[in-house]
This record gives sequence, structure tokens and C-alpha cells, in this order.
Amino acid sequence: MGLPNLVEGKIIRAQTMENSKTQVQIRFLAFFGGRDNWGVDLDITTGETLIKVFGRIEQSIYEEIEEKLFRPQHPRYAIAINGKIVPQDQMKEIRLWGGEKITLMARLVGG
Amino acid sequence: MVLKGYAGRILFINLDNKKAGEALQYKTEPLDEKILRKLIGGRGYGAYLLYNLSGPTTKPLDPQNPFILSTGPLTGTPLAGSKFAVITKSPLTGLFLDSYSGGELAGEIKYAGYDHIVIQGRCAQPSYLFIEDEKVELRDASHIWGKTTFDAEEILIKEHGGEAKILVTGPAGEKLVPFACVCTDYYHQSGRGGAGAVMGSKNLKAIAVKGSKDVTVSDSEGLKKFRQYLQEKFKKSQFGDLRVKYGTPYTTTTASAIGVLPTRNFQQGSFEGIEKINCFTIKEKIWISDHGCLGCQAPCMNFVKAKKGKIKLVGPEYETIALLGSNVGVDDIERIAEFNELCDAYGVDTISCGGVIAFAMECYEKGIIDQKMTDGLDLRFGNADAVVEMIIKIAKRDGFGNVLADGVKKAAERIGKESPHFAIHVKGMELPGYEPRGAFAMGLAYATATRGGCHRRAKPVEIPQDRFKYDNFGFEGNAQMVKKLQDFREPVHCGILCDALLRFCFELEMKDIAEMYRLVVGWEDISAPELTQLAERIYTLTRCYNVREGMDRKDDTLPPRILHDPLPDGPGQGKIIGDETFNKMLDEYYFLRGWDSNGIPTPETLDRLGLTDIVGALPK
Amino acid sequence: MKKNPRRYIKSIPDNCSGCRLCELVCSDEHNPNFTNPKRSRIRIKIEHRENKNTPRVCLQCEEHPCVDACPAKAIRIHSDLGIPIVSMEECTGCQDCVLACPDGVMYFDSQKNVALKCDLCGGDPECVKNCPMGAIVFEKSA
Repeated sequence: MGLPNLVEGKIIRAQTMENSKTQVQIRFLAFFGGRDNWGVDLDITTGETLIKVFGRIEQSIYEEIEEKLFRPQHPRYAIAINGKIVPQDQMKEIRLWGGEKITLMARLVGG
Repeated sequence: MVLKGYAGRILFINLDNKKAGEALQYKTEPLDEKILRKLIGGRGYGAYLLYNLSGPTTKPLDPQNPFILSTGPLTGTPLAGSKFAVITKSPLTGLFLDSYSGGELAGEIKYAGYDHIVIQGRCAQPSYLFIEDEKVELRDASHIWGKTTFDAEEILIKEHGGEAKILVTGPAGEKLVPFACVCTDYYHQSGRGGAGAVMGSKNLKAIAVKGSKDVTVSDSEGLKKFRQYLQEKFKKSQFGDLRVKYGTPYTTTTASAIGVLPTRNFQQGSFEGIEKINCFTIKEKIWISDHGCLGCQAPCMNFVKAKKGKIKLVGPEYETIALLGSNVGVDDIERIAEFNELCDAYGVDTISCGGVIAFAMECYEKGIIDQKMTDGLDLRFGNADAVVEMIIKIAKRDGFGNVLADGVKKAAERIGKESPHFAIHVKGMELPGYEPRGAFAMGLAYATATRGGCHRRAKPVEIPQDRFKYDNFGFEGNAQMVKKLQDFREPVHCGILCDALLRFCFELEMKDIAEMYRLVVGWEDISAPELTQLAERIYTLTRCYNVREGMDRKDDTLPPRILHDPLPDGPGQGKIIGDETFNKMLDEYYFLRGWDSNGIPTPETLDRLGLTDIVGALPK
Repeated sequence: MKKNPRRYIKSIPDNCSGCRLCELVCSDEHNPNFTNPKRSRIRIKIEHRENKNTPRVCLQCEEHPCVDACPAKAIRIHSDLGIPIVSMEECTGCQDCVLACPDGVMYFDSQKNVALKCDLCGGDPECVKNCPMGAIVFEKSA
């Protein structure tokens, strides 16, 4: 499945119809589900919230994401969508339109 | 008064054109207790020494330029990861330089009975210093001059029966390459700013230290409990276990994902080959075992082997993967390990070396230089073989290597045309592995770091936006954040302990640093606010050193590409830092530091910080 | 005679990072407020170039030739711990025990002129508590 409605990397929301089928890529650069550095492509319906999409990953991993990311006031991990870190207060509400690269990673360590 | 933590003495050595075996001029002096609490040690006290022993008429490669090995009261104690610093005037920037390293030498300087070792003058012939407690001798180094850092250190270790700790400069330092580094324990470097060239200019190949004295602490029982507290902090920390597991290379993954990874001479912020050179690939392909600095509870270094064991080193660190990987377009971790080992062997800073080679590659691809100029090298981005040859040429000042060997600023002046636009440096120091256009505060951090384009005084990219309110692509909040991050490091760099350990693995705050000083030195009333003032004092003192050299606001700037060009893709795509935003950040930063609009510390600030007598008159 | 369970500090070299924190805390533990790794009863043998780091400390062996070697009878089996302990006051600094140790883990403090032997810190070894890598573990085999 291609990347629909992408013009120069930007999602053009106006051209995307809600409730059409598409995909997002999730990469886990951090330790979840007993592994790190793995990924999954998920089918989504356009306009779905991030939290709803995550709910479709295995239950145990979703619980870990809940525990490490959504619940703490200062989480040790971050979610980035196409490279932009999602602010804490928007995490549950943010909606996906297809083709996003979602990355879970630790908040940058020193080099 | 018996000082705890401190050795209590400074060793002053004058090489005075002496030959090996001749009697050396040296003396020890006690620490000045009047200013001890104001500047503590390490960078603070070392800055005071450098301020008094060098000035605008001292050229960095002159015999007069002091080469100062500094420790602090916390070094060598059973507390946390110890470091030492080289403090000198930088051959790369002509400004204040402090360059840190881990390794056993940090403790040994204290066990030999010294807090600081100040070396001035120049030897008549290639020599090395042997310091054993009160004994100081100049020994012949003709048998190790010209040798790699690895070989030279190995020979000296054998000569001293494995009992002395060695600091050594490599062939690049001998050739006075201004970003030559010094090495210890084979795999630890004080990388930035050219400490190796200062040693080379003194005909000093190495310094060997052996100590039999104790370091005292004030409250041993209290330290025991504090070590337990550190263990608990580690368990609760965000990054602690990741840092031990992967080391600094973990940063590659996030940096590329959020668009701050320098790629092809800072033309982009993400690298398409990142998966082949990130921390997971290191673990999979080349990692052998973990390595740690003296006394460190979170050993973060990786001992690796590449090319069927022919290459071995501790590394590559994140900076090397960025500057000698994505920044030169190479996506092969084994080649990066090879570059790293070469840099270590010849004794050059991997960051500056990567920066200047990437610059040359861009010149080549743009047709500003051609293969005739590059001694036949096809200097395209991604040509790993060319990188190997270029590192060696630079270290030896051979052919085209000599055009680049004085740093990217001079190289751009030599090559000319439009190349200065993309000579990526601040004050002559090549920029490290964070692209400021992906996080504007990083630009301010680079512009205001004491020693030039440096990431180890404030690194704003690490801060989650929920903790600090700041504008990643604007100016709001950035000055406050950069100042606060710089301030935290000052008392740590006086310690001297590892700042990364204390920040990322233990997540300590100023009050914890105060507690460390209370337990080791016995200063019962030391507090976080006092340490914050100490931080401001030292930051302004080092600023005064640079101002006295003629530096001011015009030098607190960024390369034209970084300031005026937008990134082509990634989260920062299309965003430009620009003069207006940059100046706003800088204005606010100067205000917070108590400096005038030209970046000069005001008399009121000097007075408030107790620096007026120390600093004397500043140029207006 | 009551047989004590064999207790000793076991070394796992593969895990050792060469940080030597154990040496620093050991020397401080036995000389409160003073630190020099040369006073430590555990030493890390470090081959930096290969990053081969081996913790070397008394194995509290059952033969304990150090006890027999001491002409001053200054090394005696501790009744509770069941391990040889060097009496600092009685040690004459002759170093016969250092030579007698088959594993080379009896050390010597050339400043205080006494032998240095691991005493398990009375049963709760400080070095083990501080090792970040699990390169030394406190073994209590029956």
C-alpha cells in the first residue's frame, strides 16, 4: 500500500477523506515488549487517534506504552511522528491520516 | 588547615630548554585557600591559573603557554566517575580551552600529591616527564617520538612496570595539528581544541605519573550512604540502563529521527543509512565488551573489534558516528570504527577531523576543488577509502592534508570562492553532532560555549519540552535553558567528575552536587545557590579570558549555512534560524549572564561575582 | 569443630569494565577517610589494549598456606567468618605470606608495611555492593 495524499512529505488533510483505509509505520527504537529496535506496520482508518491505533498492537505492549508513556508526568520515552516529538498533552488525541512514521524512542541521551 | 579531598598542592614545571637527564626547574605551591571556595578546582581554579599565566601576547604554541593538568577535590575519591582536564590556550581557536578525559590518570595525579600540574617552557629535544610523588624527571623520548599513541603508551607502560599512568600525544600533535588530541589508557582522549599540539610544541611526547599518597575525604560513612543513594537514582533514571547498554551511540537513533543528525557537511538533519551505523548495529556487528572510566558506576564505553579483529578500539562514540559517519556520507559501521582507530592512533580529534573532511568533500562535489588539488583522491561523500587516506594526510600534514590540517576555518580561507558559507565552525572549532536548525537552542549553546563550537556545556536537545517551556524553532525560553544547563556543569567540572554520568545516569541536581562537596571536603554550609553563583562566576571568568583575547559579540555567531539556510527536509524543513531570532536569544542570554550588549561582562557583574580583583581591567 | 560455610568473593571477568570502583571503596572501607587503590585488598588486573579486566581477590581457600607461612602467627582463622584474617598490629611486613599465596592475591602495603588480605568486610563486602557490572559476587557455598 502506497503513501496516499502525500505532497512533499506533508499530509494534506483537506485532500484526505476520513474513514478510508491506509497504513502507518511504527518503529520501536526503545525497549518495549522485551525487545528493542523492532517495528510494525499497522492498518488504520484515516482520522483515528494515536491511542486507538496503539490499542491494536499486542495487549502487553500496549500496556507497557500506557505505563511508560501515557501515564507518567515526565515519561522516559517520547513519540515522534515524522520526526516531530508529540507533546505530552496531545499524545492521546492526535489523529493519524496515513503514511506517518511513528517512532518510539528514549528522550535523547548525551553524545 | 588540613584540606580534605584536595591534595593541597600545585606542581609548577618549567621545561626551560632542558634535555633528558638534566635537572629540571620545578616547585610546588599550596592552593590559594582565599579563593578556593570561590573557584573550587578543575575548570574553575584552572581558569584562574591560566588567566594569570597567559594572555593576549601568548601564542598557543609558544613555550610560555601553560599546559595545565587539572583535577578537583572529588577526583580519585570513592564517589563516582573521575575525570581530569587539560586547560590551556587552544591552538585551534586562540581562546580558553578545557578538555576532559576519563582514565586512571585522573586518580593518579591526586595520588601523586597534586591537584594541578602546570607545565611551561619547551624541551630541547623530544622528551617525556616522569612524575613520581615529589620526584620530577625529564626523560628521553627519542625512542617513542613519531610513534602512534598506542605504541608509545605501550612502550612507556612496560618501561615503568605497569605502575605509571601515561598521557601521550600522537604524530599529529608532533606536527602541531591544531586539533590534535592527547590520549591515556590507550582509548581515552581529551579530544577537542588541540591539547596534543600544545604538548607537541613543547617537544613533550608524554607525561607519566605514579603516586603512592592517599586522598582524604571528610565523611567516609556519609559517602557510603551517598553511593547507595546514587544506585537508587540510577534505577529510577530515564536513561541509566540505556546508557550502560548502548553508550553514547544510542543518540544516533533519536538524533536522526528528530532531524538533528549532521549529514553530508550539515546539508541535512537525517541520514538515510542510519540503520547501518546506529547503536543496535554496533551491538550486533562489532561490540565485544563494556569499558568504564575510573570509579564510574555506569560504564558507557564500548570495546569493539572490526575487520576480523584487525581494528580494535573503545568507541565509536556518538560524535564520531555523526562527524565521521553521516556527516561524510559513510554508512558502514566497520569503516567508521576504522576511521576512529586511525584518529586515535595519530592523535586527532574525531569531531574536527570529520568536520574538515566533510567540508572538503562538499568543495569537491561542487567543483571548487578538483582531483589535482586533492592529490588524486576522489573526495566524494561516502568514499570511505578517501576518508582513510585523508585522515592520515591531515595527521602528517601531507599534501592536501596540509590545506585542511589547520581546521575548517583556515581551510575555507585558503580554498576561497563560496566555501566559507559552509565552513561549519564556531570561533574556529568545528561543530559537533547536533544540527542547530533542528533545535534552535543548540545554536545558542554553540555560540556561547567558552571554547567554541562545543556541545558539552549545554545540550538543549535532550530536554523534554514538558520540563522547560521553550520554542524549538524560535527563541522563547532558550536562553534560560542554555544558561541553566551550562551552570549545572560548572561545579561538576570543578569536581572533576563526569558530567554525563551525573546528569543522565543519576539525574542529579545542584543540591546533590553540594552534598558531594559537603561529604568529601567537609564544607558544612555549602548549598545549591552557592554553587549556582560559583557557576556564574566561573562562566564569566572564562568569558573574561576570551574577551581579553579580543573576542566579543561578533564571534558569538553561527556559520552562514546554519544561520541563514533552511534544512531541506525533516522536522526542521523550511525553518530558518535567522539573525533576528538568533540575536533575540543572544540578547536575552547576555542579560541573564550580566554581560553588556556586546557580550562583555559588566563591572557590576564582576563585582557581584567577586571577580574584580581576579580579572583586573578588561578591554572595552 | 564447627564447619563454616565457604564464603568468598567470586570474580566474573567477562563482566568487568575496569572501573576499579571496588579498589577505591575497599581502600576507603579499611582506612576510613583515606583512599589509594594501592591499599585495596582487591585488585583489577587490567590489560587496557584488549579491555581484559580481571578482578583478583583472596579466594579464602581451604588450604590457606598464608596462615602457615606467617612466622609471627599474625594470620589466624576468624571464628565466625571461618576465613584467615591478618592482624595489622602483629604483622611484621616480612611478606612471606605474599610469596606463599599460590594465586598471588595477598597484597602488600609498602607504606604501612603490612599485608593486605580480603576480610569480606565482616560478612558484607563493600566492593560487591558497589560493583555496577556484577563482575564480583559474594559466594556462599555450603
